[in-house]
Amino acid sequence: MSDASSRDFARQVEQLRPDLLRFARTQLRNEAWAEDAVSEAVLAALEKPFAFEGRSQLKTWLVGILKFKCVDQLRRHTREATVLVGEDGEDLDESLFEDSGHWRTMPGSWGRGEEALAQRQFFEVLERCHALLPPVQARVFMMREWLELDAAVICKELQITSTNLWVLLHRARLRLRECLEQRWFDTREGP
Amino acid sequence: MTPRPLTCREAVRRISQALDTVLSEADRAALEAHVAECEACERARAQADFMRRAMQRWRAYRESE
Repeated sequence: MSDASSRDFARQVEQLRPDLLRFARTQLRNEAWAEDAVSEAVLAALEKPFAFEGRSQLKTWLVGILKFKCVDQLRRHTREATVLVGEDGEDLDESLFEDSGHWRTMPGSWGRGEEALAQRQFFEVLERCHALLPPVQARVFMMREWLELDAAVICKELQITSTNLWVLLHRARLRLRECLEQRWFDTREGP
Repeated sequence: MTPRPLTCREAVRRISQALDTVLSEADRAALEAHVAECEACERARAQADFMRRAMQRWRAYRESE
């Protein structure tokens, strides 16, 4: 790659830094970690510009690198399994289910769900609901649902058991569900 | 011996677990038997599936910004 091409490539990569930061912030929910992940991704991209063969958009390629750097940050900063499961906030199970195991309240039908996916405001609500998740649940949930890492990979990266992972994901999904029901769908029905 | 039917609490846990791993045949059968009889859990499963689609759409939306 010529000097001119290298400078041009570096300029294009730097121009995408704000977008990459926004992506990393959503995943990591920590400004310092997001900045570190983006810096590492940018550095990796600039060290090997030839690895970008122009088959995809530059942003798509960079986001691919960034996802791995986000996982690195999560691995560095997330603590052991027993602590992970113990410090993730109130368990919604008690408020959602009676002692018998039945739902306290019928879940809403969410019949207009597909319409919601076409609305920008829905994603603003989804983002707010995600921001309300306890930090550990949020990180694990995003590794699974945003980075689309397999459960086994997450367990290995965070050194947690599959049972720990399922508990965290289950709790995150219950919270997210409750939040969306209250803040968007609002279709509560009585018992 | 016929397995005890699932409670809704148990069914919702299995619905979540099924998003991340392949349930055993027995677990899957118990879940399907419960959902077939329980409108609340049928809705809960539809909601779980919807949230997965919503996350995928959110990511695509963010990556295109």
